[in-house]
Amino acid sequence: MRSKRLLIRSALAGMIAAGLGQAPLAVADEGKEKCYGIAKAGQNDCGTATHSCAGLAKKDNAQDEWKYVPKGTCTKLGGKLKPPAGK
Amino acid sequence: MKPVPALASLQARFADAVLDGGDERLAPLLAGDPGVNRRRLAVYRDAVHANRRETLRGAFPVVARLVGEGFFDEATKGFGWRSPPACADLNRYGEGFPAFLAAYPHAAAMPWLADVARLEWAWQESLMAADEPVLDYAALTGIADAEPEGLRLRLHASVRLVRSAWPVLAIWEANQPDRDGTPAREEGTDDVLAWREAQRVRLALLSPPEADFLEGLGRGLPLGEVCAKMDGRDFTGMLVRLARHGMLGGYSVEGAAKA
Amino acid sequence: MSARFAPRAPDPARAGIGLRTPHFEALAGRRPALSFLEVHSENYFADGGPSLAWLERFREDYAVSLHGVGLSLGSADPLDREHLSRLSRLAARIEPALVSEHLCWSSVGGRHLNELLPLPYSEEVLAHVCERVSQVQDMLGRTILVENVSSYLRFASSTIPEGEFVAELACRTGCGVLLDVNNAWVNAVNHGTDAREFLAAIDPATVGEIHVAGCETTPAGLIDTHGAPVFPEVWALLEETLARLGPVPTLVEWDTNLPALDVLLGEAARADAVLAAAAGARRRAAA
Repeated sequence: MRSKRLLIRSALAGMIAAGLGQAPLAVADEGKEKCYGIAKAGQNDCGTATHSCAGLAKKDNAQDEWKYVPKGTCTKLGGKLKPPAGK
Repeated sequence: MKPVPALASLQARFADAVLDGGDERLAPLLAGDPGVNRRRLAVYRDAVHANRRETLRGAFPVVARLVGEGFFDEATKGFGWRSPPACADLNRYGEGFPAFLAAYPHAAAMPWLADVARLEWAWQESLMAADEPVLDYAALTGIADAEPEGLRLRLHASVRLVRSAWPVLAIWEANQPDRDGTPAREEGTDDVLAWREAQRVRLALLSPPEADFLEGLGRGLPLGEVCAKMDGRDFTGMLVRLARHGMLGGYSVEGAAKA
Repeated sequence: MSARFAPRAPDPARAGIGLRTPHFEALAGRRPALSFLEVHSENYFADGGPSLAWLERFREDYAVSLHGVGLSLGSADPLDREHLSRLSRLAARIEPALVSEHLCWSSVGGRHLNELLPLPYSEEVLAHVCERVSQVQDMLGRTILVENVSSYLRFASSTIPEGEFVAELACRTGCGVLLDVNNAWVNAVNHGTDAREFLAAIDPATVGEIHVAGCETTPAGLIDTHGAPVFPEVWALLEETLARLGPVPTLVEWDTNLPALDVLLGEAARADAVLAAAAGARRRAAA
């Protein structure tokens, strides 16, 4: 018990020191780090009707079977990512 | 508000025609040429689906890239029927998409796909989480000395953990816009931590004990219990890491919550 | 400590543009002269995160317009109080110069279509929309602008021409009009009506903002895609409209197929020229 208390105490001391050295929340400085994007890409648009797709077909219609075959970068995933054979 | 039955009925028929197909009950309410009207109703149908699909593409760009255009169009259509948007703000649409993909028969050959989607949704949630000040470390000093085992640390609102039986982080990284989709690893059961720092979402891989520890913190367990999930050095390292990256939002001792 | 931040007002002699995430960094770096920046309110409803942080930064340099796409003003459902309170919170935080919504519906019976859908223009619907616009203005504690939308279908129960409907809404509720010149033209082409007749019905004193945007020609008619340069016919209508109204804050909308910032600024500069010509003509007429 005593050693556990000492362990937590020393870990917390390290955490507090790290926390006190931290800069406040701010808008990111550009260019300092590699980022994964900064804002949401898909957003509410303003009634921007698009007509590039085939539209919302009736629910009970047969769908285009060819569309169910994935044709993206999933083909670049290696053999180990395939489900076990015979499953 | 005074009820407007004629308007309610017209709008219900319009919504039926757009969402479920068929225009027999709407057509008599429209002015103009029926043939033209049928084509124009399709414009609204397209728009409703395209808005949903593009919203989901914004939230799940890696899933979209992995499966390709036709598959993504069909999958988002199916999801739209099963789980249409529940509110006017499309930015909140997509929470159920990972679960939909997990049960989607056409995705059965891609058992890792739903986990990739879970990671992308965690990213979105982290991005849109509330701004909150970081933990008041100065105030914590005295408490840490007195009763450290009973202390409960609260994670910052933007922290998320995704645990997967697949190398989801490797798949995710390989499908960022500047990469060609070939993952650096084909093995691994990735536990991925997502958090927001300086208004950017960051991702990091955790070891299983670290992920167990973080899960414990998230459930509100006191330090006396969660510390047992890791050895001493890793425990200190993890707390320092959480503090350095602003992942702690508050603490409480014996029911007395602080920030 | 400096004085309290004073929100900026749009400069009616200049055009504004829509603020979209891919342009954040370029805009912040260059800070081009613009009358105002317009955002879709719903995209800033989150309680935190980078989008909101950017908007708070931009409001220091530009007047902001909150343009809502989700309030479903014309729905037969009760007003969405949660949506409205989120809008109210955002307005309190950003202190926008303008707040606007659309004359349309987008949800009914709890079903959300998330699209700007057309209304029948009848006395019953006019009274309904007036009541709701008044409720929104009471809750926000300010007047709002209401925009005429593009429509691809019309209803047999419509008895009031669109221009009269919009004018009457402004007259009865005290709301302003966000006059979308492109939508007026799209509807005129799609329904064989006269855009000039529509525009002439609007009381110039009620117009608080003007929109122009690009659309697309399709076999089904003109589609308001906000994804192309403004059509020459719409520029001509804008010239006529501003000649009648005098300078009014004018926005170039571009949402899909978003071009580089320079292309958008080029469209804004063209609107600036139309605004300047209208102001010049006014001065000459007054002299």
